[in-house]
Amino acid sequence: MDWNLLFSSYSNVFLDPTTLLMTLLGAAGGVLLGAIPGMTATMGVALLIPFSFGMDLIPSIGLLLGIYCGGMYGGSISAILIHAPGTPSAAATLLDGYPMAQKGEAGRALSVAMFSSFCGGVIGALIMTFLSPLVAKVAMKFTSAEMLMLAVFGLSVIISISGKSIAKGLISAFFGMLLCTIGLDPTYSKQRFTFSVTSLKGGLSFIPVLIGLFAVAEVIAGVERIIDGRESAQAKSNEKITRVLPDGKTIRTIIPNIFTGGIIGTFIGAIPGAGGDIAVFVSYAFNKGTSKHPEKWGTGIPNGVAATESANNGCSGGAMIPLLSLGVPGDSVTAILLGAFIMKGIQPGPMMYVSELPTVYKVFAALMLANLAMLLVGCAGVRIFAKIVSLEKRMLYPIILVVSLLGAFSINKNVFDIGVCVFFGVIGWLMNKYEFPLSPILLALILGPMCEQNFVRFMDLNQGNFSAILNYPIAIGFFVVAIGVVIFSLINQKKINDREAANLGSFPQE
Amino acid sequence: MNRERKCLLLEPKKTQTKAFSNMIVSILLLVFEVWAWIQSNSIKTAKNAAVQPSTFPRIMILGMGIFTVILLVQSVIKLAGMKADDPLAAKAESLNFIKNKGVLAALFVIALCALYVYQFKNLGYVVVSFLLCAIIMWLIGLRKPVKLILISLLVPLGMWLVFYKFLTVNIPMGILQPLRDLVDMI
Amino acid sequence: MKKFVTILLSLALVCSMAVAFADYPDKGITAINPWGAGGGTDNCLRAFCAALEKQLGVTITVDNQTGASGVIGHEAIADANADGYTIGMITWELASYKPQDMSDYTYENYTPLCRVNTDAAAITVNAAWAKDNNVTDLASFIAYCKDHPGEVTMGGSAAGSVWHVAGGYLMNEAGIEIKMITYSDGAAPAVKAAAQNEITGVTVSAAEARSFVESGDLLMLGIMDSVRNPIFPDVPTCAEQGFECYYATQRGMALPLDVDAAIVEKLEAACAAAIEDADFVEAMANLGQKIDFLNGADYGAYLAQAAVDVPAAMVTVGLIEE
Repeated sequence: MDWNLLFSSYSNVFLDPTTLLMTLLGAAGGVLLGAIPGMTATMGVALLIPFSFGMDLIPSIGLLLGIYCGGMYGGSISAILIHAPGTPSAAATLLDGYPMAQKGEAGRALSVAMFSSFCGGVIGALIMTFLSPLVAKVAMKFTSAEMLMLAVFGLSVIISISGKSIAKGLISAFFGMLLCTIGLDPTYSKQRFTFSVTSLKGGLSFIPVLIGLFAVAEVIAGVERIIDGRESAQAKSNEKITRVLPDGKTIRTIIPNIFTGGIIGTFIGAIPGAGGDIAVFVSYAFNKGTSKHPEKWGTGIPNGVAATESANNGCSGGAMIPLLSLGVPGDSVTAILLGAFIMKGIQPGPMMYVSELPTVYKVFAALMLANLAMLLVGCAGVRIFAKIVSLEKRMLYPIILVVSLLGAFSINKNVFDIGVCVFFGVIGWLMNKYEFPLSPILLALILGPMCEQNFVRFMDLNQGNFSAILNYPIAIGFFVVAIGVVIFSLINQKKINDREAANLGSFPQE
Repeated sequence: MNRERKCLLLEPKKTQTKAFSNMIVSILLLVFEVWAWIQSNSIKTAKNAAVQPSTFPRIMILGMGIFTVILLVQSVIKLAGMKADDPLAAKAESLNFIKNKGVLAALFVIALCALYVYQFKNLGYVVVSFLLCAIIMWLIGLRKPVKLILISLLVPLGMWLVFYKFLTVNIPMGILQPLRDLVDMI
Repeated sequence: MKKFVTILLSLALVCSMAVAFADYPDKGITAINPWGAGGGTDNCLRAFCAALEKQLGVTITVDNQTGASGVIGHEAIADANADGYTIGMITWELASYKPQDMSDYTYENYTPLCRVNTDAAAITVNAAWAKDNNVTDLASFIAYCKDHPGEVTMGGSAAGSVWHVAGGYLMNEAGIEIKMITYSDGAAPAVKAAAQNEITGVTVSAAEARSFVESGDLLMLGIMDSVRNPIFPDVPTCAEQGFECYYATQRGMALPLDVDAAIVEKLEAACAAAIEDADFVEAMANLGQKIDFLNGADYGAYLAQAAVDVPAAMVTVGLIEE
């Protein structure tokens, strides 16, 4: 570790007005883009690449990292306020974020999300600064076998997010995995379940399904509740936001969640092919499992928001590690960042730490700056964003609907996707009615392709001999942990059910 | 409160309980799984493949099937020896749209959404969204015409402007296409 | 409010009618991109449109209509109004749709304007493996493959993608048998897998394999191009090593059929001029993409040839049956 170089790079980046301005602009744009369902950080980064043509490397990287970090937080805004995760990485945030908003704590949820995003981002940036070469070495150990078992490990957390009925959770999960197989198969390009529909040949797009299952389903259910008289059409949040950062007491309770979330996010983000969307669920399940009150998770507690938001921003630091040291992007945003580096004549890869060390250090500093900028923008925005839920429900629901449907369209500019979105809105509505949990579908949609691709590739490379997996100790390790997680969550779920039954028993005495 | 709870637990007939609805759902799911399995037969096979393209989907259908059967067995057992305080003996959500106005409204919204998709290209985003937004607002009780029309017009228009002008996302405008040309000129 | 809207609408209507009767082009042009924002095709198209704007004097909006492996966007270009106000970028994949039953559209559904860019495939193998097996150049690699049929595994990004089919082309031309492994997330994971020795090598473009070649983990044996790549001046082409094979991904501009001949001519001339634009040349150099211009007629002939070569290579990698 070259401290002088580190110090000079940080001061170089933090004292350059152009870089500061660009990063701040990027963060503001990223938060806004992330908050619109269907507009992901990827799109924001892609749109701004042409503007960065004329800039120097570091300001343009600052701009792009600003969007990246801002977008990661921005996604949680719509997840918390309108039950529509703005980005896939915010999908787990709504598990606790939306119930918080329903309880009239939207502002608090936003500030917890912002604070955890910032801390997670800083943890990621620190790990990236000090442990990059080490983490990169571990990432190079990941072949198809390890990726397959990592996916299996990811799937093992399904039990923990299944809710009361594990059978229903697993049906959802398998259904989600089945949905991923629609389209061309990843090895031989054979069509599966396409029914000769052109738009199905590339498979279902993730974002329209996501928006449908959560936002559209919520609107349909909301209309039903209002007409039934179970919810007031004039209902609105009257929360008074007195502070933009969480109070000391809240911070004390969420610190452990932030810490573990940030670390889990960074390490999962550092594995090419695994990103924030997986990290958030693993972090949520881990924090729920180790919590003293697992039964409170999902009812709207700040810990749930903290665990997920710290993980997805930690991921941004993690994803930069394979990008810089291996030239392999960790997710779709870093894939575009890779293009930006190459455009500036810098080839990320194993040689970068040798030939371009000052640039690497400046990127570390820029990521730290981007997280600070996100915090600044977030602080300024909390009051404004929380205003959305002060609209009456009878206005809010229709607005959510037209905004969500546009989001579903804009991802591919394909009308078919709006149809997909509405279809999954109906599915989500029915699933909620009959108490099938939605999150397992989501996790399955994220992990399904990873699972299948690596499984088939592994079998292909080993002539169909699955027992060759025994030669991969890391893979075996993941598998063992996955089994452990399943057993542990089963015990935990029983505990939750018992406690709830006990609560139910004591109820009539009130 | 106490009495109300007891009523909720004791009143519903067996066919209205959650256990019964679980049974119906699992039977429907089994039908879906059989259908999906039959569909998977039409997937083409690949030569010399270690894993056929149809293998993975079939494992998933099988997995779904196993847990559907478990759910079915669970609910049948519950139904046979039903106790009043079982959580599954509570009244299940209904889909009867004749008796239940809420369900009718939800189905109406779904039908509107289907029309929305159907007319999206022809009429354009702003027009269909205006209609969808206005009708739903009226449906759930906003009866101030000016407010209703203003919100349903300005939200889609604003979204379109932001997407088109700042994010360069081209959204079909249908019959309002001249508006786009106008914005292009500015 | 209503009155205002009516006035606005009629005003817009009058304006647009005036536009329709003026000389082409007198309003904004839409350029459809079948691939996502921020990708290689997108960067290329946006840079080219910026140059084309200067020639035509109107704004060109890039419209990313993605999905179904690019089929949606390709079909949208062919189905667009034939008034010259919708153009699009067609890519290598067009030749692979019909044989795979993905779409009924072929190059015959388009009016080609010009080819903009090509990127050649390179044969790159793991350096340690090459050393162990005395593979030093293309000839020794092909000899090894002939001695060990089906043992060598090569990665080429996603199934049915240009680099995956490149493997089939290599097999056909060299008369060897190798096993193609797919990496759905693109070229970078395949390159990494080759560096990890999970697979023997990759058939992706030279630029995509660059970082691990420079670090010494991978060894580039040859490039399937007619000239050497400026990034790797020391790596010989395949033809230089006595093995005539050329294979590249390509991107070009196209119109729907039945566009007025005068408009096609005007656009072709504008494309030919835009390709020389200094900013475009610089942008392409920065992107590491090779400008490889062909005019409309030559591009049409090139596409016709690709419609024969590509399916043949696809049969070899097992994507389609004969």
